[in-house]
Amino acid sequence: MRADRFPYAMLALGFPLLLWGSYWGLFLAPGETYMGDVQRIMYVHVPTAWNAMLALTFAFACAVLFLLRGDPAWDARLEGALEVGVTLSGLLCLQGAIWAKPTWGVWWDWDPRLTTTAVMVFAFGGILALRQFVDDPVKRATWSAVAAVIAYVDVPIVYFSVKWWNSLHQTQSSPETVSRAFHWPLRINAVGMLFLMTGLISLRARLAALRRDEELAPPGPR
Amino acid sequence: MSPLRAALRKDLLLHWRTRAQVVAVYGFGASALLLFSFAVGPSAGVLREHAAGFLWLGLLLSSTLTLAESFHAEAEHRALEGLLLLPVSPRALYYAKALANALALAALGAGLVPVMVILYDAATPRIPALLGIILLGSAGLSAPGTLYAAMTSQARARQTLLPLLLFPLVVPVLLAAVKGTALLIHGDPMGQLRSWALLLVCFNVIHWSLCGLLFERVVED
Amino acid sequence: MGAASGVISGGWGFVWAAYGVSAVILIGYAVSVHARYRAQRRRRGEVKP
Repeated sequence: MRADRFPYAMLALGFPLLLWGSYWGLFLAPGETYMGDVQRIMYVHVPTAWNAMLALTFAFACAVLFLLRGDPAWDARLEGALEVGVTLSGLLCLQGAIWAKPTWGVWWDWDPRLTTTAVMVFAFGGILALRQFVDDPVKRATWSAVAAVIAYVDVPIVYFSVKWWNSLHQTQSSPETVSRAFHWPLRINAVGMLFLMTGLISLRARLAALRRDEELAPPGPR
Repeated sequence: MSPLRAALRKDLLLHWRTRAQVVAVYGFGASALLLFSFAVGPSAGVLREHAAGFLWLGLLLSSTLTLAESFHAEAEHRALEGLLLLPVSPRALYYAKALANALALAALGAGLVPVMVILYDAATPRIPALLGIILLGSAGLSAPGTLYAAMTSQARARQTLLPLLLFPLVVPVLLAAVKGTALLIHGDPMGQLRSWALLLVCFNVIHWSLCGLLFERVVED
Repeated sequence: MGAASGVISGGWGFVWAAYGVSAVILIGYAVSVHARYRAQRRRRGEVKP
């Protein structure tokens, strides 16, 4: 389909940018004063964080738009945004654990941002599970949208409560990521991942739309 | 009688009529608290230290039973469609059901307190404050819980879906309620209880309004 | 423990692990979406470009 050019073009832009930004961050950027080379993980961790949050924010927007307009195209985009957002958030947790081990000595240090991300993986992943168990497409769309709205509104509350819960036990502050990072690899990776995310959500939304079409009017014998 | 009061009366009557089930859920909750003791070991110090956590975990697990049950009549006997045909706004139906569930959970929580006192040697002289935290926490569980119970009562795999959807959302309730209860048990020298109670209030305000707003979309045809 | 006391030496293993995991998941997921999309279009009997 001619219209598929857009998502594949996004992917074609995103992957090379990520390759370039990662190469720069791994081999060309200087090591950081206190964290040494481990800090290079930030060049991929921070872009992932930004884009995961962006994907889930887009999911929230799709949910609201679907509830207001009832256009199934927004439900397809919601499904795409949810799956991409959950994948990126899960990746974020893995990256966070790999960064935490050499830095704090434990795989999980209950950093409020990462802990909130873990909760989001379960909250939004649960919505993907919900979609599997609802047969009526209209109900599935409406309920996912409602659940996405509630989950997204909950995110700041979860963050604040975990931050406060954690602050009573730990005094270590979050790593200063951006200020110590060399800017260019970070920016390149961020843009690259943005293109990637856009392409993936677009492609995944098209898949969702096709599946919904098949559901409503299964193709005849070929 | 206003629609809300009538609906509330209906839901409270439902809870009363199914009180055998309430007893069973209480038994479940109490046995959960017992199992936590076995899991953690008989050290009295450790048990007392984490008593608040065990109480709220027990209540959280029991809540899935109570919440799922609350839509049993509507699901089994298709009473939901009948209710929606009445000239009563779905919002009133939601608030009545959620309120009834909140009260049921609060009663359950209060009932589990003696179990906590006995098994974990964890008591507090500040009973009204404890009941307040239990009420706020139960309300926090009930607001999104009732909405998701309405949803999952109509879906497949309902028993798995309800906790799967609900538990991540109520993390703030769990954190605040456990912290608040722990402060009541172990003492609160820095006066932090107020802040945790405030968090619970904020959570409740946000979710009672949001879920009330969205309920109509969940049950519409 | 690292940052509290001073410099974390080495740690390249973790850096490779982080980049490797990211690459695997991003590439793997992209391939998965692409494959599923193609399969769905094949089911509809569309001619692929």
